[in-house]
Amino acid sequence: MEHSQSEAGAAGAGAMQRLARDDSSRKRFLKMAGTTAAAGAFAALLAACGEGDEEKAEVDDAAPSTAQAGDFKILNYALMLEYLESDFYEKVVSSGMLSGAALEMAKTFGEHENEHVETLETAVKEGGEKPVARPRTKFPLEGEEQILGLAAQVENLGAAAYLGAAGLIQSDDVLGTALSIHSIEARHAAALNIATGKEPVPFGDTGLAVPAEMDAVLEMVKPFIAS
Amino acid sequence: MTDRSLQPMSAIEVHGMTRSAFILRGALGAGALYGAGAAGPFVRRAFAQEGGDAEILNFALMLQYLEEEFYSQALGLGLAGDVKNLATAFRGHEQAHIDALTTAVTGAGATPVKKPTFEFPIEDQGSFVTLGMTLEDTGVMAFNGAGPMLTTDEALAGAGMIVQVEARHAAALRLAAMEEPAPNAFEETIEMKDVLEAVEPFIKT
Repeated sequence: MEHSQSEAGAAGAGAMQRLARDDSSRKRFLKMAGTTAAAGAFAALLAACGEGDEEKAEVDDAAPSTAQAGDFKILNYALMLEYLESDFYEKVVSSGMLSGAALEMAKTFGEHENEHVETLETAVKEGGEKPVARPRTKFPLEGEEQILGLAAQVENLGAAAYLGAAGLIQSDDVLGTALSIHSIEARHAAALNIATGKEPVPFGDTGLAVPAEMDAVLEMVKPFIAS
Repeated sequence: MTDRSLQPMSAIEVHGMTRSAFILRGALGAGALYGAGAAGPFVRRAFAQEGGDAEILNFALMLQYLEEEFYSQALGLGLAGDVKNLATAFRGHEQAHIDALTTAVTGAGATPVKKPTFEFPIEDQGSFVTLGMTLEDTGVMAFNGAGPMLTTDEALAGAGMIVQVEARHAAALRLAAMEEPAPNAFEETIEMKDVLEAVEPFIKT
């Protein structure tokens, strides 16, 4: 594991904070990023997700229960990731390359992603905002082993993305929704890690998951966005 | 209400409810039979703190003590193969969580809750996997329930890093028990007080 330092226990909250800013997650996940970005479609996604807009409210003792302006950007960011995952599983299932337990897992996880899409779309609309446009996607599918490996990468990235975004959410309701999806993505990631012979908890001795920031995540999913 | 209450309940499938939620609800129901006084001294002690983030972090610390001790006791049962490897790795993660949370509680100006002694109704690999799955599922639901109540970014970030690992533990143990790793599209939540009452049967002192 690249991220195996074990200072977390000794330094506690301070270490947690440092890990939250650690960019080793980017290095790890950047490995999956190719170079075939569809610049136009991607630029539109970035705009919709408010990339580069680092607004973060001051710490507010009385967190609002309903979604705030910045929360919709995060909801749309999450929605975009769920669109990708939903499309991925749909294409995987219809590819005919999976069978047995792997196929069942892809179907079940795909259904979860579809439910995440519905919930996030509703959350954005209920706030009077417009859901991000559903991107057209492309995934290299070459056979069961490769597909499960790609699924593991996608799900580990998804879990890291939710973890990285959680701290930016202002309202308790939106945070609750994000947390209820985050741990499901983590369960998917663990199951797929096991299915591909990897550790279910790939964070070395730290015992702490590694978050990924929005701009890094958007860069990593570029190869999956069709022009 | 230790092993005898858990085993029959774990065999019952209830439509629309996860097995762990059902077991937990069963434990809660049994507690309710004895009235509010059934909340033992440990629950009252865990809530004797100042409230706020410190109380939530102490609650999380108690759950990590419970889980670390659970894996320690399980490793004394003669586990083998993949299950033994999981238990060994997961025990290490729980210890790291204990260390981090102990420092976080102290940093929040409170006293870390003392480690209780635990007793778990496990006697072999099968009962370890079944109860482990339930404990980890419960831990995830507890962290997710408490998350929005945290007021500082540091505490929320730390809790998030821990709960993701707990969710991965739960999924791995569910697979070992031949159960769905993610039984729902959204994680359920459980309130702190209900979690503490549910785990009280495992606390000896």
